[in-house]
Amino acid sequence: MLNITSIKRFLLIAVISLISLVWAVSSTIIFHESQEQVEELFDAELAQLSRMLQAVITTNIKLSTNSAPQPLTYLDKQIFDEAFGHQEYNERGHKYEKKLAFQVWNTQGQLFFENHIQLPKSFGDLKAGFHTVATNNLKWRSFTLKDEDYGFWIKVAQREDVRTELTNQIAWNTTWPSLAIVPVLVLILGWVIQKGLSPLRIISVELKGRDYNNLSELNESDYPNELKHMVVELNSLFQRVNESHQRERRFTADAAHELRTPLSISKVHLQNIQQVSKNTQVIDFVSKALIGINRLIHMVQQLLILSRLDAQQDESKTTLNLNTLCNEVMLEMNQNPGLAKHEIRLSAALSIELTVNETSLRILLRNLLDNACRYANKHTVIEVSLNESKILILNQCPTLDDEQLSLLFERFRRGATSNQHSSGSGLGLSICQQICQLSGFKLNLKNRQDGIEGICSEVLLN
Amino acid sequence: MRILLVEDDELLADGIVTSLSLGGFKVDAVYTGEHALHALGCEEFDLCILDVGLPGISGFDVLQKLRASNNMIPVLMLTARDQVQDKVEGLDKGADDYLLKPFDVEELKARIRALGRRSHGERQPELSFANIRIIESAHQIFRDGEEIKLSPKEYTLIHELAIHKKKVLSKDKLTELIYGWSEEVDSNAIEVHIHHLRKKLGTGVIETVRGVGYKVS
Repeated sequence: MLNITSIKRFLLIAVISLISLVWAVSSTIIFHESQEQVEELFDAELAQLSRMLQAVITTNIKLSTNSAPQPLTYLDKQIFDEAFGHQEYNERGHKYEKKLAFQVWNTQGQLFFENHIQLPKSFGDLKAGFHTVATNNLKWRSFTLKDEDYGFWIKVAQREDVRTELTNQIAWNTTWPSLAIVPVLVLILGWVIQKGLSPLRIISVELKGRDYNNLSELNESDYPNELKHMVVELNSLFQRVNESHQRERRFTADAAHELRTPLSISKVHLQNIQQVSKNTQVIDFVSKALIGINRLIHMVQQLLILSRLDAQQDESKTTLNLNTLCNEVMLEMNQNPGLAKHEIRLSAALSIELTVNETSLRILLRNLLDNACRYANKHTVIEVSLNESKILILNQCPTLDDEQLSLLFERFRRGATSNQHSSGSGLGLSICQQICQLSGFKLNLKNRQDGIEGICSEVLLN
Repeated sequence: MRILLVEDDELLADGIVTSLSLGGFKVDAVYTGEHALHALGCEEFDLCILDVGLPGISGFDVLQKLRASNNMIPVLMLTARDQVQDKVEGLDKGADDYLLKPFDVEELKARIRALGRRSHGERQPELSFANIRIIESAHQIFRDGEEIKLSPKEYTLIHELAIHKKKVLSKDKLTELIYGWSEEVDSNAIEVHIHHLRKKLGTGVIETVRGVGYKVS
């Protein structure tokens, strides 16, 4: 099956090829037909000229007192000498006259009338009718007529190259207007095809220009009948995808929401046991159960954040100071006993202002720092560096290969070196990536390049 | 401090009541908005912990009705909704604080203490009168810098008198604050506690206002 990569190109090439083919065939036919007709016309002229000469010579013989006709003089010399310049003709004649030759021979084989053009002079090979004679690199088309009453021969000839030139010129003049129209036709066709395909272009521009989560319907009335069916189907698809997205988001949000109360119940009662129990073993078990509950709470919170980011809620942007925000997040981290084991050092350019959604940026920084701490070797320093164009967070931990790095963004995937007691939800980086996508940032995770073993989280802000 | 807890989930309400009771608070629990409005209309509480997602009348509606009836009791909203607009709505409707489920009971207690202080115009995390100093967060009481061990009921009693410094609290009011609805109380229970407290803290610390009640100054 023909694989059409571009309808416009396909239509243009197909239509232009067809037009060119039809034009070439018809032009060839017209050209040859014209040539033939002109050739016939020239032949007829030759015959007519010979008959005129016959009539003139016969009259001359009848009027002559002598029985033998006297040679005639043809005053063409001065015409040949005249320069026509660029003109083809003037009031005295035409420059092609010398291309037209005639000879009249009497019965004795005596040439008594000619126009001094180098038509081969040979009485012996005179034969009635049309012939092509070659001489001195020239070809002549001749017509020979024998006067039966007085026995003289008339030979009229035209130079073949002149005939061909004229024939071709006439044939070409008949053909070229149709050739001239081809580029115009191609241009018009191009415009027509472009115009005809414009609804397709509009629909593709409309779809291409959309945000990745814009599933609003296309206006059916904007498109021609041929595309309406497709637009209706597209709208129906958008609707189904949208509904399924919303169901999924609602489910995650509702589930996360509904989990909060049972989690509260478990946490409150476990904390109560912790407070009243005097049994150290019980207190130890309860502490472990509380770690589990807290981990679950963290995951529920991350799920809620993710479902909100997926739904792209809360898009309000404010201008804030990145340094201040980063310090606040670092302070929060220090208050978290699970993550406070690492020293976080900040180096930053003075006062970096950003216009962003504050909640999103806070979550982004928190999650990246949280991750850097979670997977860092014990008692190492986490370095944070800020400037106008990027945020860098560097920790010290075993390096990862490219495949492991690319898998980090997958949801519910936790790093292998994660500390058992503080392991995360496996959603943190997924959330970071989503935030970056929504804020126009770019998030890269790579091994550190400064000679220290560790991971570098890089957020490109522009 | 007497607290009304409005939480429709009985299991959670039970946990919070236990937890706060262990922290020396007197907590009564109701499970619907209607019961909450009734209880707040009939009795005097120092603080209300109000769940937003109640069946029937929602927490926000209870709060609105409460404020419309000029009841200025400090209200701490408890909710599973963490969106900024939810918090804003709660605070704008007259809530004094907002706590997201699931919470840490220590945080809940700290917020209750802070609200208690604020409602009495206090800013200091410590209460002091005469030669007595109370550190609320640690439930510790010092006389002349020396820590005195008190029973939970005794602590609650002296704490109530301390936060109502210079105000006379009647025996009935003190009984209500310390025992709430659920416990059976001997008619002379308050006198017994006062007696013990005077023995531990010194006789001049708690004054008896004859025919009215007790106060500290």
